[in-house]
Amino acid sequence: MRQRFLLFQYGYFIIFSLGFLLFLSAQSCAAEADLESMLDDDFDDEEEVVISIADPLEPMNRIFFKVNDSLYFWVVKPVGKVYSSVLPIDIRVSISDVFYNALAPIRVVNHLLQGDLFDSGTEFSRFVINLTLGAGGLGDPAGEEFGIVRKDADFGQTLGKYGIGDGFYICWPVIGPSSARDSVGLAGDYFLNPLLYGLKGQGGVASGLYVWKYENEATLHGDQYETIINEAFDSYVSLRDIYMQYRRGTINNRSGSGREIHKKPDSFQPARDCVSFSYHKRYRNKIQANHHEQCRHLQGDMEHLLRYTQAGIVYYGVQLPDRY
Amino acid sequence: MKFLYKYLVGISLFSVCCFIISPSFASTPMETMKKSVGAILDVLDRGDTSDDSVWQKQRDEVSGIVALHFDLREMAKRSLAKYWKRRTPDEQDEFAKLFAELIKNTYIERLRSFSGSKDGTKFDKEIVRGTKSAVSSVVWQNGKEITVVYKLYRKGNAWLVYDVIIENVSLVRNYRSQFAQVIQKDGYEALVRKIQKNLASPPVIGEHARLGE
Repeated sequence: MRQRFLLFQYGYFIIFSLGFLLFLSAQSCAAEADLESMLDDDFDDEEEVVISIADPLEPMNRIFFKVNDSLYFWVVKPVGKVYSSVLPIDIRVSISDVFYNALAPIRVVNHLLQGDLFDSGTEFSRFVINLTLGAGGLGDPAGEEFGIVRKDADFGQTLGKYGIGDGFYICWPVIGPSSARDSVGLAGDYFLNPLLYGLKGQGGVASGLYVWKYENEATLHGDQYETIINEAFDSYVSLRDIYMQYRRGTINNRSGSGREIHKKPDSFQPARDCVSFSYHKRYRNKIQANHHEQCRHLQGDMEHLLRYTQAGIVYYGVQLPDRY
Repeated sequence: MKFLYKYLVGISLFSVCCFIISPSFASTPMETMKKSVGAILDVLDRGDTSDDSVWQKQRDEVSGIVALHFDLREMAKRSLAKYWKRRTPDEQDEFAKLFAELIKNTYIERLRSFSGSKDGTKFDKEIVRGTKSAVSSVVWQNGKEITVVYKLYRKGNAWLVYDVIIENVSLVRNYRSQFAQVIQKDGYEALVRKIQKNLASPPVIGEHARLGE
């Protein structure tokens, strides 16, 4: 009798521990589903040559790719050099932020269409905060002060989440890599673009703004494009593959959670060696870790160097001399 | 006394449960990655990467760490995919060597302008399935969150990286699509020549730093 009783006790204990472990693994399961899918990946079969997407229009696409590439190196890049010599990086970042913020309706609606109320609300509050406190989107107080991080969404992604396949690859002139589905997505997002309603009948102004946005973004991200092109063995195939892998990732939601919030500590921590900095206007007396060359100008101020992390960005703070 | 005995039996049962569930007590893939990536970031932090002579040394040091934790031969093999088996062992060795150089010239060279830091790098998830594992990390750079996933496999007691996936774009997969294209069009020899040519030209990454900064 007593033996049986003991057995029961251990039985419960075992059931409890197993249950607890199952509970733990269930907890982490949701978060790990994305990673799991990476191991399930068809590519893990080492033999298979994965064709990222059907490309029946390849000859035409290659021509448009060449056009875009020439456009970048012969027009966008030289213009960008002049443009960025006039406008310092912090202003270009602000301009980029204004455009980004203005397109928030696209993200708010698409998060809703994807059934993600949380992200829709996130984008909505970012839009309102940056529009008001951020002077129309010039600054990003939502991200920097409140730690509400960007969360992209577009109609092509929404369609993908509904289960619609990529279709085939299209390289549009100027717009660049896309797929049949994402092209429909672009058309859908077009109707959510506030400019369409704000600038009714002023097509010239609207396209001028588009060109401006394009050029501005190029001065901020052109080096990424150049890296891809320079490292490629077949730059057309490389870009196509990167686009498709990236898009599939955003549809399978493998990108970062983006919900982490870091608070500014009460006291700054002294920084390590100066590795890279660039002056960031939003932080008047702080320096955002960014670029190498400008670090040298600050060598003299090293002993005052301070840093803290906010919204995941490491900020290096110094007591700036008057010349700034 | 009896109570203590029961307690001990319970604990040992519990640890048996744990033992069955965790495959081993050796270091986990995430620990491996934390250590190796941490070591790389330490090297980058130690000196001014914009100084050429300093960078040469740092690059060699980083390459050493990469060679220890990344199975570059496996990556080369996976990048060639079905074309790997069609090569002779000598050709395979030669290709693996070229590929290792390629990684040094591109991915490791890219680290020169990397401005993230150890505090800005967080390993958040890890899954292990048999001899394979995926470890994901988030890197903050220039105010952006970049997701980097490492795929590892178990070799003896060590976990070795066989693919790196940055913002959903897999390194091996990208090379695989390009290599297949070049081989189908111009043959394997053309690919080798292309890689050699790529290696002969100096790394371009530092040249076109961001426009106009």
